[in-house]
Amino acid sequence: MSFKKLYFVILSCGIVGFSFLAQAQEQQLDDQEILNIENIYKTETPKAMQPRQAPAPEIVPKSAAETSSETAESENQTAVAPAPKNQRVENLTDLNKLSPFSEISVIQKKFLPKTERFQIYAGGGTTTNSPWFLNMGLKVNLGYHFTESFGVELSGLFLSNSEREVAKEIRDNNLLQPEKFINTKSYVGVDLVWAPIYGKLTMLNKHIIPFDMYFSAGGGTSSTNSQEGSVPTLHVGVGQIFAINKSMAFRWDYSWTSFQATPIPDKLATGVAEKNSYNDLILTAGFSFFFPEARYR
Amino acid sequence: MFDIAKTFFFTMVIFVSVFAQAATDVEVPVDELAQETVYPVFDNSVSLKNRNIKDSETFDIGIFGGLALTEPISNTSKAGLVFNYHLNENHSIGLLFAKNSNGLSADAQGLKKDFGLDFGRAPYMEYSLMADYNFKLYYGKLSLTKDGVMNTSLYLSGALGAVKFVHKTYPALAVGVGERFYFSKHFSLKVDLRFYAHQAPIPFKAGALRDGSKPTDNPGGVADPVPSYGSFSERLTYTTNLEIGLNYLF
Repeated sequence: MSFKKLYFVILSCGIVGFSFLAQAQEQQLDDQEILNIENIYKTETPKAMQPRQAPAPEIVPKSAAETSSETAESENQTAVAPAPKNQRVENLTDLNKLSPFSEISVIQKKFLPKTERFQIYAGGGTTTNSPWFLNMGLKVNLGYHFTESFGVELSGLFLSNSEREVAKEIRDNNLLQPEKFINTKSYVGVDLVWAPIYGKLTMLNKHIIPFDMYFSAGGGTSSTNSQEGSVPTLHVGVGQIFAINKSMAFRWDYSWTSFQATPIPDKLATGVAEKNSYNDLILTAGFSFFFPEARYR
Repeated sequence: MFDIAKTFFFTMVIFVSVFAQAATDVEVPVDELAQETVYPVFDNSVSLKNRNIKDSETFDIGIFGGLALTEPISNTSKAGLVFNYHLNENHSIGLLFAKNSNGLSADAQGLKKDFGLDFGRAPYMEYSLMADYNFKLYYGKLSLTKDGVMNTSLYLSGALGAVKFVHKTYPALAVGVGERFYFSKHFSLKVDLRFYAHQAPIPFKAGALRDGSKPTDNPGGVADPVPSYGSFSERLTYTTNLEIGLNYLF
């Protein structure tokens, strides 16, 4: 046997010998516990048991208000089932008592919380479906959010009215009075706001922008140039709120208002003016401000 | 030949591994630990590592319906087809074809009923064909009542093409903003708000529209002679269009 082979025999024996001496970390589980671990997912888990959330006891103590609001937020976000009993995971085998989450929310945290906060929105815009008039205006809303999803909002819209080219043409060429066509001067109303959609966008893969998408429905009164003047109005809206920081956001709103009104008769009209339905589609964009300051997160 | 250096090296490795041990804990005074959280600042931040909707170098086709919201006379509804090629995640080009409905708008029907003005005599738009460009500025995801996730994309659009009236074709320009909502990796709902600008005939031609049914300003109730489409003068026209469609990405 060459020296080389002799050396590898000795080296191999040494490795085998040391491997016998080596030992794993001390085990505290007996065979029964190992069987329990293997059966973790085979065992039917009790429904009452819920996994503990954030059990770390070292969290800095919070005020009652903070704790309350955070708890409310947590419930609002996750709607976790019954409060967990005082069950701690002391040993590895305790894991087999855990049950799956009864509900897992897709998104757990919000960058711009709205719960129990007011929102003031001011934006400029225009009516997008008026062929005869160019209606530019200002929209001002004051809202209060009961939860992240629901709120109420007072809304005020004030529009200017200038004739488009077609209105001048129908006056000059066809001798009509377009100023007597129904147009909206202002709208004041109240809405229930539902914001079921929350998400985030990346702008060219550089910045993250959280946003809400909401739907609103309500009613109010519109000031028009009709015989009635002010008329009751239905309102439905949709929009998105893009968070800039925790108190300010960019918002667009697309609103549909519908009302019935009777136009003032044109000088060429032969019959009695009839009451008809009229619709406005108003697009506005501007900024929202939220207050008071968010108390949680 | 046996290399004595290798032998020595392997032997040392064995001995070092035997005597190796974990580092001992180092006691650090609490007041020397960091007291504040500092967010890292990256030179080249990337917000999104892995997109769910991988639309780079893909095609999509779609159908849509729309309304010409500020059209005073012609029927405001239309339907069309759209075909897009996504150059990358930020840019796409495509073709947009829309067929306009025949008939009159609600306002024009009212003008005929109340004043005997028959705007059916005026030329009307038949269809439009546009080359469309989308700048996909925003991409993201949204939670729908916390029960599911869908992706969305916000984009600016610009289109160049032509609008075909019954008697003549005019070049057209359209700019707008749109948003896609992806139901899956292939299907999406697409909403576009576009502002069209193009030359168009003016339908309010004097002495050409009265059908004789309302003699108030027309003693004798004589109808105006039916004008030719070419006799209507033209001007630059702006129209707001709202389009909603379904697209398939592949």
